[in-house]
This record gives sequence, C-alpha cells and structure tokens, in this order.
Amino acid sequence: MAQSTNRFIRMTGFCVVLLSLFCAEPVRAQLIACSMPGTPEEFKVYLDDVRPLTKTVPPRLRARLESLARSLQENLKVAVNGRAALKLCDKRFPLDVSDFTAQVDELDHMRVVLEIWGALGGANGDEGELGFVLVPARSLLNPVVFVAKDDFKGPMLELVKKYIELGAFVPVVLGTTFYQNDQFEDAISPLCEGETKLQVAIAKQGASQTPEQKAFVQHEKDLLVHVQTMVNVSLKKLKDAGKPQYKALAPDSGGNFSCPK
Amino acid sequence: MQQVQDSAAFVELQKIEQSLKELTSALKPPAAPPPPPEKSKWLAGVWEVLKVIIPSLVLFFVTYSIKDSVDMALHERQLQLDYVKQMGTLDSAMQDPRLTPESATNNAIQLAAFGKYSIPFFLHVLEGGNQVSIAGAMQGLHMMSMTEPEEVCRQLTLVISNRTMLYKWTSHLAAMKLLGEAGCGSASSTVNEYNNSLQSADILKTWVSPLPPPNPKEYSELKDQVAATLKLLERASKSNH
Repeated sequence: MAQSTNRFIRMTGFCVVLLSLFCAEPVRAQLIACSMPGTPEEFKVYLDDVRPLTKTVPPRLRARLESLARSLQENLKVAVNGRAALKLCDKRFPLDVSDFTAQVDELDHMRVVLEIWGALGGANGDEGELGFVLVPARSLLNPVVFVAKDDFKGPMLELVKKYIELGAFVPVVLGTTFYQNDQFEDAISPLCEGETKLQVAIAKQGASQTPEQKAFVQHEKDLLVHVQTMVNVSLKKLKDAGKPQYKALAPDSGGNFSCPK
Repeated sequence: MQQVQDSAAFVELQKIEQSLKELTSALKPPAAPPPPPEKSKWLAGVWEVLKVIIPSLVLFFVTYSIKDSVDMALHERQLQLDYVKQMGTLDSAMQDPRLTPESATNNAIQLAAFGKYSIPFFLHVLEGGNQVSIAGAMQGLHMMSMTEPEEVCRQLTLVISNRTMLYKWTSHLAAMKLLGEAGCGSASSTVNEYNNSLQSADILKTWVSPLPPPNPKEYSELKDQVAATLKLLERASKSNH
C-alpha cells in the first residue's frame, strides 16, 4: 500500500515537472555549441558570430558587419599570440547575456578562457556592441560577462584596434588561469600586462555618460582589484619560495606587492 | 490294564486340547472397533482425493510462476529493446552540434520519460557531449532524481566509485553534484570514502580518464564539490530522522 502511494506521488511529481517545463516560457537562447570545439587540453578563445542588432540588414550594415568580424579576428590573433587557440564559432551567438549563465561552468571545464561576440545596429552600422565572457573569472566576479556598447563610426579596423579591452581581457584570463593552477611564475607576466591595459581602458572612458557605460567601467574596476590581488599573492608566494629573481622585491607601505614598473 | 492306559491317554489328550484352545483364544485379534461414523468416512474420502490432487496443484503453480517470471523477464527485455531504439534517436539529437539549449531541454524531458532506462544515455552525454548537451543531460538527470531517486542514486554512485579511468573528471563532478542535490543517503559512505581518499590532483589523475588530465584548479573544484555534497547529505539525513 505504502509502495503504491509512493509510486503515485512520484508519478504525480514527474507529471508536474513535465507540465511545468512544457508550459514554461520558451528560452530564446541560440547559444549552440562551438563549431570548432578544439582539443580538451588546450586553452581556447571563442570568437562567436557578428550579428546585426536589427531584423533588416541594409547593404551598408552588412558590409560593416563583415568588416567587424574580420577586424575582431585579426586583432584577437595578435592579442592571443599563440598563448591560447582561437576558435571561430560559426552561428553561435547569445540573444541575451543571461544565456551564458547555464553554460559558463561547462565552458570553464572545456578550458575556454574567453568568449567574444560583436553586434552592430543602425542603418549605417555605427551602433556597436562588443561582448566578453571572462570564463576563469567566474569564481571572482558575478557576472563574468562584460558588454561594451559604443559609437562605431569610422574605419572598423581602427576602431577595433582602439578597443583596449580586446587586448586587456586576453592576458587577464590567461593570468587568472595560471594563478588558479598555482603556476604563479607563469601568471605574473600576463596579469601585469592585463593590469596595465585595464588601467588604460578605464582611464580612456573618462567621465562616462550613460548608466550602462558607468556600470561597465565599474565592472572593469572590480576586475582590476582582483587582478591586483592575484599579482600581490603571486609575488608574495614567489618571494617566500626563495626564487632569486624575486628576492629584491619589496612590498609597498601597505605590505602589498605590485607589478614591477 | 489296557483300559487304565487308555483313560490316562484320554485325560492327557483333553489337557492338550484345553491348552490348544487357550493358545488359540490368546492369538485371536481383539474385537473389531465399532464401525466409524458417516462424517469420518467422508473426510477420509476427501483426504484420499487431496492426496492425488495436491502434488498436481503444486506442480501447476510452480510451473505457472516460473513461466510467469520468464514471460515478465522477456517482456521487460523486449520493452528495453524498444526503448533503446526510440531513445537512440533522441540520443543522436542530443549529440547534434547545432543543438540549441531549448532543444536540449526538450530532448532531455523526452528521454527522462523512459524512466530508469534513460540514465545510461544521460551519463553517455555527460561523457561525450558539448556544452549545450551536457547542460541538457544534467537537467534530465535532475528530473530523474525526482521520479526514480533510488536508481539515479545507485548509478551515480557507480560513477564516483569507478577507479579505472572510465569516466572524465567532469562526470565525477556532475555525479557528485547530483548525489548531493538528490539527497542520496545511500551514497553517504561512498562520498565519505571518496573524500578521504582524494588527497591530491595526482590521485585524481589515476581515477579519471586522461583526456583531459585534471589540473590543480579542476581538482580543487571537485574537492569543493565533494565537501558541498557531504554537507547536503548530512542535511538530508538530519531531515529524514
């Protein structure tokens, strides 16, 4: 009797779960798996599709979308510089930043360190959006998604080159990964490179106008604090380990170590 | 003289005759009992019939139950084969590189409807799937843990008990997470043993698939998950008492 009651409760529960899942508002996510998954061991940077922000795509916007995709690819190749594998993910694109919430753990387990996407809107394609998922920072920051919305007037390659974040986030995520794997000596160089570039990116923003831009800069400032903490801990550990090149290193008045100038 | 002898012999013969009579009467069976009443006669008749029927009935029921269990096993096997065919299509769909998160959830729901037979499929996706299908498989196992908790707990315990590099470290992590969330009390001792034995990333490397070999960060993540699972199991055990 008790067994059949239990079975009834279980079956009812299952039906409720099924109904709730079927009746739930459909998720709009189109974050399909990357078409170039790569090998399990290597660290990867995913470059997603570049998409229009509007339904209609006039020829001028289409041309600028293609230009943005090319420019991102070229710039990322330089930024990554063989330190990770750049993977082009055809037809992968988030419809909302929250799409990454369900995938960020899996991305980390697949050793994806950074994911980038781009989008353009406006008839002339001059309303731009660049998105970054700093995967290893998931234990430091919430959310780990940075979306920069900006004016994208002018030659695309020049614009992308000026986008310091593109060059800053790659060393930050690589340095964070080394740090999390206790490879403190390997972590120092990319973390310091990332710190310098992040400081430049924050300074470049100046007095931000829109609340979105202000939030973006604040998010970068929070990341910078974490990067400086990782640099401090790494240098302290290396000095304590008696590494000769770190013997002369002296802490500042607050007892913290910082990147060598 | 002759007459005296004859009478003595006669007396002797009479004695012998008397002794024989006594002996014969002593050997006679006791008097037959009174005839049984009518009811006892009827019961004896029934008993005689039952003595013939019972062995046949026992034989019939034994044969019937054996046939029934064989039929049940065959039926279950046939059902399993039918399920495997149907689930194969869904499993292929789960491995599709163009799978969207929405389709992954839908496929997981359909697979979960097959009950315990879907669990190996979900474990297979955990092992070889991509970021979308793995998230779907986790959802499927989550659903299963609500409907068939004992079976889910049993199979997930088998995953974390394995030490022959059969599963990736990520499958160990996923199994450990689900064991906690499902409150698998039956897995408590295995999780405890896992926690005590897992003392370094190098030990973990000898347990799990070498592709990819877990790095120190991944080892720490698994170790943190084991601690979180132990806490959840402890909480579940307290709430059950």
